[in-house]
Amino acid sequence: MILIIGYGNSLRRDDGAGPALARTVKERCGDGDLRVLEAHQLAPELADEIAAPDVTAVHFMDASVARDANQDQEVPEGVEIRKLDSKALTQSFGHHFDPSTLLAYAEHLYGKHPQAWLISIPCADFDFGEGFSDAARASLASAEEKVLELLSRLKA
Amino acid sequence: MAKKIHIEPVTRIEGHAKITIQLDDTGAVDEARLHVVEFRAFEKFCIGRPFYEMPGITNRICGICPTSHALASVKAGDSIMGVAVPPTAVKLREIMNWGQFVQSHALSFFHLSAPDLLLGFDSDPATRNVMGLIQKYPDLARKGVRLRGIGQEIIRIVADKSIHQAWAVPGGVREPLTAEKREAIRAMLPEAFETIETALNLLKSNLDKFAEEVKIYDFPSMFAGLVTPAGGLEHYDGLMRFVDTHRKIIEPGIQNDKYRDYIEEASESWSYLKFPYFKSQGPYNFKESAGMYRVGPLGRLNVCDYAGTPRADRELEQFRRLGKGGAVTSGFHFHYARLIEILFALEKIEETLKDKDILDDWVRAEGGVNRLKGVGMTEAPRGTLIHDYTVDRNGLITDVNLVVSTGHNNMAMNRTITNIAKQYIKGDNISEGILNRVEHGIRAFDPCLSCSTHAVGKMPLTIELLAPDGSMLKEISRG
Repeated sequence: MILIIGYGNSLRRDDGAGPALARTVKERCGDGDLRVLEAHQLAPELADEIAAPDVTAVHFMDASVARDANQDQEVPEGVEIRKLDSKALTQSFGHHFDPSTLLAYAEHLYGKHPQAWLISIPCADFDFGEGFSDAARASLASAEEKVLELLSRLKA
Repeated sequence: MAKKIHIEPVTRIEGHAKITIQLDDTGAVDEARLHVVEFRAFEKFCIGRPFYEMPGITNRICGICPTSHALASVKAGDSIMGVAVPPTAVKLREIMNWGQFVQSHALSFFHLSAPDLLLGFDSDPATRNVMGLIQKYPDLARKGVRLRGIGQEIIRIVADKSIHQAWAVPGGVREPLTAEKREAIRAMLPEAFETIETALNLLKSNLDKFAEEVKIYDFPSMFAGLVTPAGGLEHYDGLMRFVDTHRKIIEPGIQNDKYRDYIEEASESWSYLKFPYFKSQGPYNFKESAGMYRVGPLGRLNVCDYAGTPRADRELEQFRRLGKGGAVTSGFHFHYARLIEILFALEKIEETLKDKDILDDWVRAEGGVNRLKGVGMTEAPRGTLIHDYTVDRNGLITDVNLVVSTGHNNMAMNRTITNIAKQYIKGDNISEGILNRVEHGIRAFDPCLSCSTHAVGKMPLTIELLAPDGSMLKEISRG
């Protein structure tokens, strides 16, 4: 079972790219070997999901700030797919968790360390509102293909 | 030469904030400031929307306290509709809200603050995190994850979703509680009680180690929060009470729609977070902390006469001793107060689930626009939350004012970090441990910047040009 966690705030335009990509991948792949979760931001109880006995891999999907981001940008930087290690970071005064810290929870609390990747979707507009910028739409299309390719490799 | 030191934690979702510490010519700290530097126009964004959509919009402001925004919003909607919410719906909303307190306070204590509290402020930063906590206190860390999860699960069971639920609506709630759901919540409570008792005992047994911090975080202020009509601890409804630093009541119970008579919101050029202050103690003066008050767990425990549940009342009695007859004025005790509130929330959930009408299916009152203004005031985990809507006769929003919990504490957060910086920083040779101490001063309040930055139209833009050595060369302001 591959766990997909798409996270971000859809009320802040491109920040909702993570959940949107997760939904798209679910639509294209069906429910078969995937479990898809959407979250506003990462929180510690997601470690329970990561540590579930049937989870073999985790894909975190999140918007990232494109270099020289602007809303009119038509060709975004490349989508980044990065393999993750478990690593706990020192907290600031925010409430968000990063994927590596969640992996650390799963590993050290439950003894589970599934393979994990972070799919970063370059985006440009994090202002108020719904819908995506052109840059985000282009990034999402690119990310979709790359994730499907990764999934088929994992399944093989 | 005077210098500035910057600490810049940046989070995309929760907002961008920085702390600046201004040194004087002798190298001593003159002042520290928390700057919220990301502008968020939630209030403008809502103009033109139907009021009944507001709970769904405002609960997406934040991933940590969406339930609180939803409840403040539906209460404002209740007022616009002019309806009496069915009693069972009120109780179900309260259960959801207490679930919110459990999950949010558990996140703050077990995941964000415990590394400082249990591993030490000056411990190795490489391990002063959840990993270090897990290694030293694996059972407690596991219980902390579970407790936060139980709070989330209570919300999910009652409202069908743990975040961004659409279950609470103006007039009531969409679905009643079923017997199966009630039993599912009940089944989780023993574990939650055990965890919170463990955490309370652990914190109390370690308090002596933090005598220095308790002293540094200590300063006089007013406190504010909701109380029941009889003066009990209140998390959902009630009257807003203000007490002074001696716990003498200044305002016994402000009605929701009268808050503007008592609270004014000031702005500073260096932060998008507004500075609410108590009007009669004004005029506003940041440097003098005029009109400053504190909300949240510490505020609520200081304003109430009693908690109203057996275990929480026993803990409150012990807690009160820290105030030596007056209010508990050290902000360090926000952590302690937070744990007592988790205990209270669990007891209230247990008690309310026993209510004979809790499974009643009359949970929603219907109505249209019967008033053109509605104010919803509730307690979010981090303090009093106010949603103030004005609508036209079609129910479309024409004006919104959100007074958020973190904003109420703005002056006090700045005062706290100034105290900490003055204690630990001499000159510009500062360690990571000291910077962490300053950040902890903010963390104690458990602020949430997602929803707290919205000073539309009041905020001049200031650009500071700093030389490489940190000294300011030029300041440009507009607005």
